[in-house]
Amino acid sequence: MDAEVLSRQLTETFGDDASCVARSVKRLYVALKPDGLYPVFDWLQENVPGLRFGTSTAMDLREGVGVWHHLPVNKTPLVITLKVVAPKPDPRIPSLAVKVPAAAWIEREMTDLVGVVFDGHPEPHRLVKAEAFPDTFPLRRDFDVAKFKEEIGESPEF
Amino acid sequence: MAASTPFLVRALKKSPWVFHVGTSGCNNCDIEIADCLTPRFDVERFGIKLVGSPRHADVMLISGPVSRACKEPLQQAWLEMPEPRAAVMVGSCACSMGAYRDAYSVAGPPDKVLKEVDPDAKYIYVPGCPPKPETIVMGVVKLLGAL
Amino acid sequence: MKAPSSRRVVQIGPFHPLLEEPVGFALAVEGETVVDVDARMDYIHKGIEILAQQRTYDMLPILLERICGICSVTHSVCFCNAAEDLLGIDIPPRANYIRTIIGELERVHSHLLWVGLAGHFIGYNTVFMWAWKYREPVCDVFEMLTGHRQNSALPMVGGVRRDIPEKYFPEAQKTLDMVEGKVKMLTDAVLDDPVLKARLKGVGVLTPQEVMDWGVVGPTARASGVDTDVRRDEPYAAYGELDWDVCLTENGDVFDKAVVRLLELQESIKILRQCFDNMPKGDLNLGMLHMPRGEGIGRYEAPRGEDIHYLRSNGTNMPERLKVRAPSYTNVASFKASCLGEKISDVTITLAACDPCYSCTERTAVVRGTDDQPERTFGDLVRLSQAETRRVADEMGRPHDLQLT
Ligand code: SF4
Repeated sequence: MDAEVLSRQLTETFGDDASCVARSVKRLYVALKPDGLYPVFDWLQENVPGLRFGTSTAMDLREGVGVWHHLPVNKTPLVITLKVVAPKPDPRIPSLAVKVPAAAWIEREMTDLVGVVFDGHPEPHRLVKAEAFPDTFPLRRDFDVAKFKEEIGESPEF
Repeated sequence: MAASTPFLVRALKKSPWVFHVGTSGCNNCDIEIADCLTPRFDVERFGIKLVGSPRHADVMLISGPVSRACKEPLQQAWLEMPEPRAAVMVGSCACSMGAYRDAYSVAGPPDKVLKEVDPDAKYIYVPGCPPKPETIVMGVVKLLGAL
Repeated sequence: MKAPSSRRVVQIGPFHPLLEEPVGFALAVEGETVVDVDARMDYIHKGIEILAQQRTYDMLPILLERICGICSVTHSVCFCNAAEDLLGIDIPPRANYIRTIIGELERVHSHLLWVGLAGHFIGYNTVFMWAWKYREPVCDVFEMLTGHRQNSALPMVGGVRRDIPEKYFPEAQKTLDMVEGKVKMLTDAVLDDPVLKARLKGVGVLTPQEVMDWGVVGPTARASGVDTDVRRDEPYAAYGELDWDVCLTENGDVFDKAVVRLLELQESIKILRQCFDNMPKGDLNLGMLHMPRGEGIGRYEAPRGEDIHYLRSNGTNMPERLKVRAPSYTNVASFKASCLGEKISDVTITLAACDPCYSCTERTAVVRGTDDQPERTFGDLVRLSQAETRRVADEMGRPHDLQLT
């Protein structure tokens, strides 16, 4: 299945809720609203054979915290990316770990690093940050290593 | 260093038992250390033996920068080693933090971390990313010569 | 992890010899059976993704080589794939062949490493010594061609940095012939050994459904019959032009995972031979490239499975975001599916079967046990696993010289 065909099908089914951009035959980017994530993911799981959960990228954007779910499809070069942006002071997104267990770890990691909360995550405790790590989010834009070290009482130089 | 008599040092040099701690390096150094044990290099013929517990060891091989979570276990393992004891910093990371210098989650290079709990810790640096197994063996041998 | 009274929690790690991004595992056991697994990943979290935002595109492949020791080519080429996807360019054919050669050499030495360590975990230390012995010549070939045993620093966006000397190809071919013979010997030894079959068949099974649910990739998925291989699905480097097969088996147990890797070793050697024979001449790279705004995704079939890099550029000479997903990340998470219901003596080999980057045969486990939680180090688990092999061998009445280490 190539990206353009899939993009047309998605637009037919979901209309404006899913705005698709096919960058090439093998890369499809779909921008969604947070509440549009489950329906589109369910549809994809039903209609695209060999779809599996690859990984997610979280990043701090101007308009909010962006969570990109990358879904490769077995036996084809296609990678579908679902883009969800959560508005900032309190970013929340529905958790995909409810639907695919593979998303569980990466969502915990994203919570640790960027501070986005996944609603309904089965085990929402820390994965990559130690228990003692202060409540800052290293991947946020305002994070500064020197300042961080000062705060926890370490010298900035070794 | 109450317990380290000349006799013990001499005994150590005959057959140093080494214990390996990988503190969040990229594990290439760890593989090269394991390589030293395999038939090509086979350090056991010199009496150097890799052991599974710090309590049995004379020399500690440390690879990688020390992440915050590894800091305490590393210090604890060092204090568990009987005296006389010494460490070999394997790889650029353990010597100078290498590629991870600016990372936020590392607590410092292992020499500084060891100095915090044991100011007379003895160690030697083996730079390289990763150092070849020959170099690591050479490092251990030089360390024994210097004790 | 909280443990109800009949359960006990066994800690593995934190200095765990198996993993690329090391983990502390807590296994909840009832009697001898594992009922739950939990993981902590903070021990080796170094924040490479954040460091990557402070490096220029030219420096990045060098930094990314240092994510993982065994997969050094993997991460740097995968990043280049992502950047080339963003730019929409094709690289010169000679560069493609060079990337294929270093990638396959890496696969060969990585799989040999796995065979050795898997042997060690079930008590076959001879296999460990053999496999690592035959891994050395492969590292030598790597050093001959690139100048370093593992970190080649060759890949760059738009090609490769340096050439590899063709005068060493005959020597490399000779080494490969030798290694191929030894790999065949190892394969036959594994396939024929009744003790190994009895010990490993039916252990740590992943069904195809579990594979899809947990997003398992690489040889671990192919052992369960799930047909996925980025080299064929989305041919990068020279794989589209070469003749090779994807190796599949059906049962998804530890035995099959070993078989898949051993078969893949032979395929890799086949690919390498073709590369040495058909090496094209020409340019090595496209020079320095300007990276426009945009995003790209790169995929690469690492020895352990599919590696994904996501790159987002804002038009400057440093990336705005680089996401790295190593294959072990999903493979390790699938322990929740493969370890549950296993006996505790099978846990090490089940963990080992998906080949989370091994670092060393033995690091330490400095675990503070509380009163009701026994302290068990990883070494204890390996010993349990080796004792189990010995028991199986004794039951079958086969002579053996298995020793506990
Ligand atoms: S010195 Fe190099 S090879 Fe060794 S742990 Fe550090 S980055 Fe890895």
